[in-house]
Amino acid sequence: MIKIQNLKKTYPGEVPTTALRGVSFEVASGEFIAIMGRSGSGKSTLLHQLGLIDSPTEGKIYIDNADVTLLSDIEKTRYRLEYLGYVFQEYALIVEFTALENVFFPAMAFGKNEAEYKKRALELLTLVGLGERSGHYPNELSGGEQQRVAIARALINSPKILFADEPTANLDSESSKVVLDLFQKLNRELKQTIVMVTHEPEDKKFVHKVVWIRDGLLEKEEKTHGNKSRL
Amino acid sequence: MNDFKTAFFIAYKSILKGSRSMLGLLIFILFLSFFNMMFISGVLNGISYSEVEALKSFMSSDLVINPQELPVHKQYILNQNEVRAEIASIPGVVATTRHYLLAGSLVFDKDKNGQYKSVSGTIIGFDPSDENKVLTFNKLLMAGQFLSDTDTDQIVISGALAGGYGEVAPNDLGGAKVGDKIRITYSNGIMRTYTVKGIYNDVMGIYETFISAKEAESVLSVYNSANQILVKTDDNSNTIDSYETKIKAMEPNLKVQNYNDIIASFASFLQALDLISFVVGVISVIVATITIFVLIYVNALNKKRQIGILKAIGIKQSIIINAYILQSLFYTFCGVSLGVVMVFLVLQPLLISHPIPLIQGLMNLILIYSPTGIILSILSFIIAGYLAGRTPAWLVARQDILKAIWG
Repeated sequence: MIKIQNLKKTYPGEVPTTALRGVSFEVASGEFIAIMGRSGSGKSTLLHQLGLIDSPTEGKIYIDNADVTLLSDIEKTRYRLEYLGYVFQEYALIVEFTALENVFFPAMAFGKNEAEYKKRALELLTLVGLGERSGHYPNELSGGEQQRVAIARALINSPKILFADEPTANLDSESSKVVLDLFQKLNRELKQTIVMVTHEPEDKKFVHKVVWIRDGLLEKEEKTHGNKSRL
Repeated sequence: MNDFKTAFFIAYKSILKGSRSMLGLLIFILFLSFFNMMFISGVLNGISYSEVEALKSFMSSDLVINPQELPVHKQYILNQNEVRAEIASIPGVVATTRHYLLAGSLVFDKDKNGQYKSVSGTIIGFDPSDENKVLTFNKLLMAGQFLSDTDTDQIVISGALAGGYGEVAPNDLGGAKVGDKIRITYSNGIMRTYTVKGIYNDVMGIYETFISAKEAESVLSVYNSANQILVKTDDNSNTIDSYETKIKAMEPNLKVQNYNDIIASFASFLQALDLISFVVGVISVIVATITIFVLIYVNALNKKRQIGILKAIGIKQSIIINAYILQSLFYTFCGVSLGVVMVFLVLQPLLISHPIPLIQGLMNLILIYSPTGIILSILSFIIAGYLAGRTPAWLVARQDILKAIWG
């Protein structure tokens, strides 16, 4: 589903910083993978390239055999809305929107039918265990609950791939487990492809594969046995 | 359309859930800016209007007809009775009056001791009963009485020329009062002595001396003539240009001027008022623009991360910018609406119920606006609101997604 070929990223500046030095690997459809590595290894940079919120200096990214590095900025914006979902480290919700509004907002921007996206948003909130709290504003929700709203929002347009950038970094262990269980459930039940950056070794048990990044290079790909779902 | 709906939704929720105090402050500043612009321009327009109306009322009326200039300059309009009757037949013409214009010097010996004071000036002869139908000069009288048609040995002079009435003229007669005798030597050499019948307040800067037309004809040895015919018209029936055209068609040899030509000497004053009004307007718009710009910019900077996230999840930059523009236009709409209510529903009725006198009480201060002026004022604020919302939102929203989210 995702094919990465020799991906490089150098940030310009007085002293250019090379974050990725040529990374290649593949993610199969329905796979739940973790990108791991030390702080500064380049794992978040890699996720940003895959998620089309940054452009690589060199290399190719194919999603469903289409070279997405060739897309213009406007096309990338549309592609992100239509085919990709994001969960950020901090609970990146819009504070003026209720939980329900946060969830259906990408569908509204997409131009879907209002009644349908509201129904779907409520279903997703129910899926993440927050159906009863759809009218609450982010400041009325806990960190874990906000992150679950963010996950529901990421799923509203039925993305091909769900990207998560250290989604449990700011959560307590209980909330972290709820979130990761939720990812696993989505992956198992909806066959949702998930690419997650994490630095927690114990998160390995939720994923099919770990891509280890070190100093901007692929260190190894590690198959895990934690996630028993079939690809 | 969907992009607009999405932008509207962001703007609506931001206003609804945003800081109430900031919203109130922003709208209040915009209201003050707009009110300031409207109030100053309305007052200055009102002063301009009052000045022009006063000049028309006391000096020029609506139209002034002068003797033939081309091909041969003539001194008088002959058969003025017939000319005026013809003009009076034009629908909408309210009344006419004629003027004889004479030059002469006034001499007065206040203490009867041979110490004469003299003043040169214009002496105007008119038929008082006709004059009162066209000009309201008699309202300026502050001592004595106005002339009557049969007066031949009496005059009305300005307070400044008489002296001692507070007004200042380059020269005066040293304190002539009603009942005093003043000798006039006309430019044709004829010398006559008159009794001061009335003294008027020359608030409009008019320093003429008045005699009856009958007396003027006696001095000039003419009959049924005039140096000027003044025409008062009904503004509601026709435009001033239309009256002018009709009179020119009737009397092609005479020179017809409308009040705008006559009051041209006041044009620089009126232009100065317009300029002040314009400058105040521009400053108000700039203040409004900067206010909106700063507050939207601060707001957008505070939400930089949120803007980055919106972009990251695939929301178009144009939707984000339009959301800020809509918010800015909403603030502008509220400020302008409050200003309109304050000017037209509060201040204007207040000035009617509690008039403020102008030109020593001859006119009252009124706020005057042209439909074009109102539209331009509102439009300038809307444009200011649009630009002041768009620019800061664009400055923040154009940032790279990663920089916006993580700095």
